[in-house]
Amino acid sequence: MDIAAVATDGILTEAYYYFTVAIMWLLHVGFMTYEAGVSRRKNIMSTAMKNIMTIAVVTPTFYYVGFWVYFCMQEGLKFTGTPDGNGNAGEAAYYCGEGYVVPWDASMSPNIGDNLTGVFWAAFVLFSWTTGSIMSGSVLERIRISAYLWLTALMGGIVWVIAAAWGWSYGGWLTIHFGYHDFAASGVVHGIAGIFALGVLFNLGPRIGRYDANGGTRAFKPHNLHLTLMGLMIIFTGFYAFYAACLYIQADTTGGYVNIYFVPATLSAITFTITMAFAGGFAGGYIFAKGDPFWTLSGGLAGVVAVSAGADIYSPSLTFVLAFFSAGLAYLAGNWIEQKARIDDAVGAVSVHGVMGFWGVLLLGIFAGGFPASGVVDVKTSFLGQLVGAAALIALAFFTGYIASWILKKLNLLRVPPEVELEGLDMAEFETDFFPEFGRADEPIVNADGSEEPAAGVLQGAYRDNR
Amino acid sequence: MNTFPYDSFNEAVEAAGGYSTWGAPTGTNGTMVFLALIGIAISVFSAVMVTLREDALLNHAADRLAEKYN
Repeated sequence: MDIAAVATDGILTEAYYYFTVAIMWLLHVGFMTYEAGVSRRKNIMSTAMKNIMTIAVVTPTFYYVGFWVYFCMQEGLKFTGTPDGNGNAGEAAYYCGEGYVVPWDASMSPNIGDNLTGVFWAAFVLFSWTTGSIMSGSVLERIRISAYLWLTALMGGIVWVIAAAWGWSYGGWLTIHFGYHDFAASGVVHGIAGIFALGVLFNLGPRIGRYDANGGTRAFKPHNLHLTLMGLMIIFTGFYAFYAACLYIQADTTGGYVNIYFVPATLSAITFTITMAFAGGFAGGYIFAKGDPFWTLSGGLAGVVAVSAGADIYSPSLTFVLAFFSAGLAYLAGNWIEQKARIDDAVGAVSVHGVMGFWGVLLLGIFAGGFPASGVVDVKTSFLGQLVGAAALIALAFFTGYIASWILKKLNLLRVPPEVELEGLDMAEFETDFFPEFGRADEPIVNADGSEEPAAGVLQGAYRDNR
Repeated sequence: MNTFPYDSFNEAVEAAGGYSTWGAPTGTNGTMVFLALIGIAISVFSAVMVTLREDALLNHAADRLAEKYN
């Protein structure tokens, strides 16, 4: 390929990533809308503020630390930076020393000799925000905004990046030694975020009144379910860009695109996958949840998360079938987590992202074992490789989430005071009512037997019982 | 039409291996390190301030609401 063609290739890739980044913002518009809709009226702005401030804390963390971690920690919990897997000392210095993506290096500056690092970095930043936003929904209505920000900086800026370095890079140890394949980040984004959130939820505890004294589960009514559903649809739109950003234009050697492991793939294939997965997931969600609107749409998301690991290689029909049944599994897992394990995950993120993420990692080993896993070393995908990857990433996510939230809990900085939770976070955090022209109607609560009653007495009773 | 010295500019950039804001084209330079450290410091300072401010707000609100809920 001549020099002019290579230059055009670089500019095309630059523009491609730039626009995927712009469209991926919709993910965060959607997450904010979705979570604000789920919240009760008294907590809407606190919920939305978490999503906004995610951008403020994760972006610099990723700029100053995360991107360097991605290139430097591909061989495990050590700073070796040999992404070809060959232990090349020169590359170690380049990726872990004074070289590439260190915040004061030319690669992280306006450099007319480098069209790609900035847009590649930005695509990763948008993935980072996504991990934070996934956790954000689980913990709403009782976590301190500041606690969430520390936790999301840790996960979005560092923890998921370590996972990506291990299993979402062509030189990661999971890739080159185990053939781990996770094309659109079932495990390294969704799974990591969901399981990290699970670790946090153990320390955070349920919202006051969520469970009754007999072991039954009460439900809080979203203040605006339509807003929630619209938020999910916006997230789905952004997902197309998320998928596209998992490809890399490599026209000089492949005639098209490669995935992050440098194995040829196409934009066309992933378009088949994501669209059929949404369809299968919606259908499965509707069937298994008996028409419940929240789980019908969440089923679509669960379906896509479950097939993301193999989105570059699955056939559309396989995708449809897997998404259909995965949506059902997400519904069942969500109910089990909520009602049997008594873990108050306000939006079902542990099930939809955590369980489905690693379920999707394992599905890849079952349905696409034997596929070339790397364009750099000769290694094939396998169920065992996927299992090892899932185990390593689950441990990484859970323990970091649990330990970090445990420290915040011990410092009394994790959860808002119970009086504030009962009154609503907005009045305490912002000292104003954001809906002054609308009075506060009595908040309803749904009992375990399905009956409804005003929440005030129930919540106050639960508060007094738990003191 | 063109007043920008493209040829000499491109030659200079190529000779230097690229350019970056405020300094040497590649590798570490003091100003960029200093700016990065300021950015890191502001990030940490902001997070600490958000934590302290929120803690004060929540404690104030909890005190105010204690009578209502106890």
